[in-house]
Amino acid sequence: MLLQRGNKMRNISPSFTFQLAVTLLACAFLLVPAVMSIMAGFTANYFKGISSGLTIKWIIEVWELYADSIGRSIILAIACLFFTLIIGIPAAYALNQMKPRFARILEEFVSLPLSIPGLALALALLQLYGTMSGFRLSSWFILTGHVLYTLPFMIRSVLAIFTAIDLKALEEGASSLGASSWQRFKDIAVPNALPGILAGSLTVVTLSIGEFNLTWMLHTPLTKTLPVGLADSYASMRLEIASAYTLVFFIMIVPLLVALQWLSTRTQKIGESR
Amino acid sequence: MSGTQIQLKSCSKTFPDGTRALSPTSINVSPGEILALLGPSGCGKTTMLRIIAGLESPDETGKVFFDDSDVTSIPIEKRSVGMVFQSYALFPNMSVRENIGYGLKIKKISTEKIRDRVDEVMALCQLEGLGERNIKALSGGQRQRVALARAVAPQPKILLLDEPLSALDAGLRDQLRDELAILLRSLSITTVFVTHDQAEAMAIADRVAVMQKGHVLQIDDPRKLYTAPDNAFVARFVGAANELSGRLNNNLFSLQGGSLQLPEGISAVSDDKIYVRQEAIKLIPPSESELKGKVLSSTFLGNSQKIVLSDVCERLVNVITDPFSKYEIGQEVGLLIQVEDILVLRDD
Repeated sequence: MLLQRGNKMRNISPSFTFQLAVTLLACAFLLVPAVMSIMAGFTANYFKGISSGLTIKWIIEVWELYADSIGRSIILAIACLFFTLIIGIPAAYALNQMKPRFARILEEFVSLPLSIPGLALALALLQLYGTMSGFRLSSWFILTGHVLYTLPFMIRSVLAIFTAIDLKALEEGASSLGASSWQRFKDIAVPNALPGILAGSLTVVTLSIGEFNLTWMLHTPLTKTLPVGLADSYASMRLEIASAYTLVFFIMIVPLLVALQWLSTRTQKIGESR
Repeated sequence: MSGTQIQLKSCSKTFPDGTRALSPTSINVSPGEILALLGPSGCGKTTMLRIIAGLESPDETGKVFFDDSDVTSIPIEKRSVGMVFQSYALFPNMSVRENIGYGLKIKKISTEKIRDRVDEVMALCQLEGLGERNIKALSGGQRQRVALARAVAPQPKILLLDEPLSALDAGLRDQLRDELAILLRSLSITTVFVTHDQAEAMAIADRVAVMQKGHVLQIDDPRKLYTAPDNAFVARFVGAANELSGRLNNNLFSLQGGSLQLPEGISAVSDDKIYVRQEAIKLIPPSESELKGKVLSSTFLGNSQKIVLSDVCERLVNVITDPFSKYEIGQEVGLLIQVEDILVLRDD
């Protein structure tokens, strides 16, 4: 194996060099703006450049200005996760037990919010609930939008793992041993679907934290979230603060994305080992 | 464990799309009996098993009885059946021990009693020392035994097995077939199992129901099925049989290679065909027989030898004979067939 590799290293072909160059160029294209932006968040004065010195004062300022937006986003994401879990898992369980054709139609309905632009969805919510001012002005209004938008991801993720583990056969096994439908749900369905539930949860949290379209329409000046605050800072603050805000956003979202990637590969493996 | 009688009364099954998986069927399984449902795929055997289990309900007229109680509308979880699935359906989130004990846990039996019963069943199924293993760390044969142990642990009234050995390699299957036969007999639970493998059915069952296209063609003990099949399909399915075609005139059956004297009263044969098992044909010198053939090939099989003959009738004739007699290719041989070995069958 090692020898083979050694051989390959020695005969580097022109096409390999070309491919490497293209790859590196593409990486640079994607990464340089991000690096520039992050650097801007640390630079004392962006117009003078790095020579003006490095500082974390912009980050502190972002925290002072937008801490409540960041906090609200985290709470919203957790609440959104809570609701998608208690609605999504039983819904996926029910879909899995239905006749395939019927289940497919229902799944399409549930997934409908994905194919409608967030702005249109928000407009519909405003038209329907806009007059209920207590609800309209609270964070619950935004939460409703987030649950509507993220629920299909939870349902699909859980439904996919139910299919991958052949839940129907497992349930027949459990019912032959006397388990009622509630016992089958809690002893068999949920524990074996955990990787899918986790993957769905991470998707929901990531989407909820990053959601802008819907939230921008639904928010009030008192119910700003992280991405809405980001847009706000881009529009009205100096560039260094906007960049520092981007950095804060990165710090929150990147670990979630990495965990999501890791989990989805794991879930795929479970599907394949069957 | 005392036996429970199973009765199916005109159970049929029509699926919503109109396919008839099972034609109206009535069968009785005696207490403690082991019945095999044997047939090719799509013959309705699994549907029948699932009706007994309560995983499918029969069409309206059908009724299922366990002893004297009508269980037709009782769901599987209340029927007290143990079931071994083709895929085993073991729970990946539980250890071997937890899998086997799950049915007992559902019954709310005390932890110590569960432990004792699980130990007992694990010993019975030769699973000692594997209790803490993860299901994924088991071999195919071990999984099969865990599935069986899990099914029998709660002491079910009846035991149902759906192709219990089909997921295993051929070699392992032969070994486990004998083990399963011994084990099932020692349990003396009324058992119904589904298989497409006639050797498996013959080895394990007290009686075999041969099925085709949703009908039960014949239910009998294995020896009776083999020696006195009701029709050609059964004859061919439970063991290889030669089909000899010729012309019947009075009691003389004339073929390409000569003639055979059939007993009186056999003249009602349709299609002018008779069937003879491969090992029921003896090879003798051509001068001593009215029926002759030519050796096309001989294959040494270790404990026996397979001779293929041409020129007996339109089809080739297979003969299983002793392994050490020498036959030359092209050699002429005589065929000796005892009258009682001739199967006269309705065509399928």
